[in-house]
Amino acid sequence: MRADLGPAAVDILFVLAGLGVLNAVGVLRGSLSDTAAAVGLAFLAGICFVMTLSIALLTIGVPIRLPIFVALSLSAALLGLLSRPTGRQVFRLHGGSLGELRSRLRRKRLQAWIATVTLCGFGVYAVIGALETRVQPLDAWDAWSIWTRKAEMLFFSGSLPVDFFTSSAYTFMHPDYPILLPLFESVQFRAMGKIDTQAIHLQFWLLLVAFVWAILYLGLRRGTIVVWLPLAVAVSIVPAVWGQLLTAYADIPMALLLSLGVLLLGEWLASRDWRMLALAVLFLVGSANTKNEGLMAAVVALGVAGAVTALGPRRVDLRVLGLAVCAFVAGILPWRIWTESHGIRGDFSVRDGLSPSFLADHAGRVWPSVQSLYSQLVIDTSWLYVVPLGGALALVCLFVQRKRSLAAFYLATGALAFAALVWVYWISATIPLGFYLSTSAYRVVSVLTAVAFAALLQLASPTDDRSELG
Amino acid sequence: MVLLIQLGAVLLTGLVAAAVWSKSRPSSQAVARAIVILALVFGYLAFWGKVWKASDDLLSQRSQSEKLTQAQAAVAGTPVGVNTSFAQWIKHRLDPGERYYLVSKGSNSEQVYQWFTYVLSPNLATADPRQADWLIFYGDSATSSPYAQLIRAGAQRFEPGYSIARVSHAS
Repeated sequence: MRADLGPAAVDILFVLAGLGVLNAVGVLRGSLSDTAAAVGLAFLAGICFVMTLSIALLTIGVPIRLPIFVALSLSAALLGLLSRPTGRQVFRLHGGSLGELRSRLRRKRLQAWIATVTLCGFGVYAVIGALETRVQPLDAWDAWSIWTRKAEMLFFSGSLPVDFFTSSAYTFMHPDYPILLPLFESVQFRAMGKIDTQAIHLQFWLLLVAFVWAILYLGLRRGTIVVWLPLAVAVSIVPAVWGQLLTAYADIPMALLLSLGVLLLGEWLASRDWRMLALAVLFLVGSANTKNEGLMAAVVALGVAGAVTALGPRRVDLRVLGLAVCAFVAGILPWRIWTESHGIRGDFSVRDGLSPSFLADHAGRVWPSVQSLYSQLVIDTSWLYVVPLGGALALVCLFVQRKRSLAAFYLATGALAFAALVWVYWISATIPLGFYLSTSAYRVVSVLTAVAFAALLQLASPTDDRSELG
Repeated sequence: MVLLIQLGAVLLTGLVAAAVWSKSRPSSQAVARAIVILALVFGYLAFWGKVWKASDDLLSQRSQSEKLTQAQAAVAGTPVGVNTSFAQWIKHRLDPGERYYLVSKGSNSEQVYQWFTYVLSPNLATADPRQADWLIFYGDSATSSPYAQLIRAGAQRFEPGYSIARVSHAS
């Protein structure tokens, strides 16, 4: 019983914390229907916010046990909800987003019918997935060898077990990898009262359901739900997404957060609404604290957003972006400082990666890496053509005046993220490269599909039909 | 090349659809709109085309998974050929905080090492046998091992080739 109720309570706390964050940023409208629609986004925002704070506390020696977690979540919820008047109305029943949606769909009967049936189909699918993931055994290598191993150690110790992370006996489990996911799992284990490696899969499934829900909410708020709905629900049946999610690896959770972060960054570029930038930073921090590829892609996306802003007519927004970058750095720094101060090194050295002689010596790794990543992207049965669809739309939008800079943002982010992945394979010390590629390329391309999906969503939105989120 | 063909196919479809729709030279915006419609139709088709198969796969996985006992599920990730019952046997012999050093022979020693260090958590492995409280011999004889001089008393045997022994400095 506790194995189910405990995690449910933790998830509610994540949602409450996330609602606090969304309200503090000014996204919530202050009605029960809007709050209900925002639950998916709030869940993911709560995870990013509370887990990032928890990582910072862990690195200064504060153990993260249930009382601290509850205190953090409730503090975030209360402070966030009290920070704006809308926060006091989030559970009040009156017309809001859903009423607006009803009236919007009433005008488009066929679309409304298709959307309703599709949402019902997605709901049934989500329940089936939840039933399966509740009993899914932990059998994928990296899950027990890296991610859940760390989660279990955090469960046993509460604080960061220095001997475990610094011992050369454990270098195989990549002690430098970010710990948002293990920490998330360890909190769930604490709530379960035991380590249940089957039940934990349900939490991974909820990340996917929450992602679809979050996209639908954002679509609802900006008036593009009819366009975003089929794309959002399609993500949930992409074989590479749900298949990899069941392995309990960190790649798909990272990609989901990254996709939201990049989408919201694109929203900021289009609207210059600082609330979008604030949320984008939160999700990019979450992605970077989940996996190193998330960090790399987040840096690329922020860099490209900076370049697009600098080359555009509103250079004054560079200051706002600068603040956002500072917040991003503050979010990812605690773990990096902790690993650096304990002499924990990764698989490669950035200094080597910038050395011309080192790069020349390892040049033979470039082409196989390009081929391997590329071949993964074009497997239609894995990613369901998200890259060609997103890529083609971005290419065409380069010639559409109002979407040019956005298209450039997505194309440059995707291309540079691809180049950065190749660079990592190029300079990584892992030998043999063939084995490395065959065991990782199919997963790390999720970075690129995440960017392509965000591009598809935003560039599919009619520019003249955009409504403010406020 | 495949990606280029896929990109080209999407662009061409968008171009043709936009041309038919606008009955004149289509603008970039019209092509973009056509690609969006293509993506939306594809999204619906993909969802409804795949949701049955995905649901069916999930349900069959569930029927397999729910047959597992908790004990079976706990060792579901055991790499092929690794003697996991030996790991369970050791688990009951290590006191909290005690450390071990794994002496493993065989082609799958990396798999053995990673699995044992996972299953034996929160007891930690050490990289130096002299810092360990226990030596674990996996596929190796404790007496003929180069670490034999570190052993305080006789090794406890699980089965031939699988044993554990206390290190001499350990209390």
